[in-house]
Amino acid sequence: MRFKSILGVALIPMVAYAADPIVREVPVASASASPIDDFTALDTEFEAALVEYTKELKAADKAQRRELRGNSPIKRYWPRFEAMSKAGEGRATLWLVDHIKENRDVRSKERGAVLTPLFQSIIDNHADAEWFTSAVKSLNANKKYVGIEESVAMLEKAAKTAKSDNAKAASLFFAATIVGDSDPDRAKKWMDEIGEKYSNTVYGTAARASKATPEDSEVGKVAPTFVGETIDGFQFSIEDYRGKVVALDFYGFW
Amino acid sequence: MPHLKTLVERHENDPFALIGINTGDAPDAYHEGVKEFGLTWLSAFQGQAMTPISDLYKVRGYPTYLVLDTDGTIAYRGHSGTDIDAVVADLLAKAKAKGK
Repeated sequence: MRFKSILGVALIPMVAYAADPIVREVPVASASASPIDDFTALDTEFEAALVEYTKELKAADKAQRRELRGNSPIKRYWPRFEAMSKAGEGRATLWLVDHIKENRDVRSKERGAVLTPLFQSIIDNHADAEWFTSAVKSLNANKKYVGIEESVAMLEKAAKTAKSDNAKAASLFFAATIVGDSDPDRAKKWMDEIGEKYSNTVYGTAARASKATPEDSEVGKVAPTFVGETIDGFQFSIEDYRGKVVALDFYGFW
Repeated sequence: MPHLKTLVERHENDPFALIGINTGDAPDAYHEGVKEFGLTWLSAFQGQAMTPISDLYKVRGYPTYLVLDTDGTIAYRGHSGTDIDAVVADLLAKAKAKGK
């Protein structure tokens, strides 16, 4: 892995907005150590089992592998997360949603039927959770399985029930990108709403980006304002840096 | 990247900030890169699917650098990491003269 040099200026294709997001929002860890709750404990246990399983799988021969796969961590832990989800733990519901592709017991044909009530439950009961934006991103990533119209309807609802501006903006943004070409008026209405009410979010930046021209960011112009997010979920605005000389470095490690 | 590190260190006590905008790396590769290159400054992580800041600035080639004056005006846009040294020093000198 090398850092791209000046000589190696690389061109990357424009990336479509409707693509599934990879970034997850990580809740900011509190300074004081909080006691580990049941969900965190179960998730930690699962992750450890997964590491162990991966190791065993690597060392196994063909026959052993088949046996290991029949008793994979996802198979063993799925019912436990499911029970927790049914008991009202929203993060367990989100866990099911985010691990459904690894669960071989749920065929891809059946995914929609399993996912839809899970997303509905999250939107109805956990719209005020700090991880709700992650659920909105997951819904967008799973729209194929949930169904396009159903996904848009759920995102519309999420935009209303969500507590944080970021989650509201995310819901409107994904709904707008999904309806995009087929219903440009609706898409524009939602994009405009993001621009008006939630401009100070990452999605506000994305909504503005969809209208940007190269002239907006040439030498002599005032730099377009944007909100950036670090890999840990910390958000900052370029406007906070007025009064300083700022160098922006658009880069990749690839 | 070592060059950017020097730039940050040189202006440690000046009203200057370097902000990285990462595009196109997977989370694992990003963590690895931060470690390998000793990145200490603020860096936005856009990932591979959604790249709002690059899109807003119509960035086509990497790396691309922009230098902004204290009022947010774009003073430089280009691909040379060494060119920005002089631009930054010049803007900082002007800001200092103004402040006096």
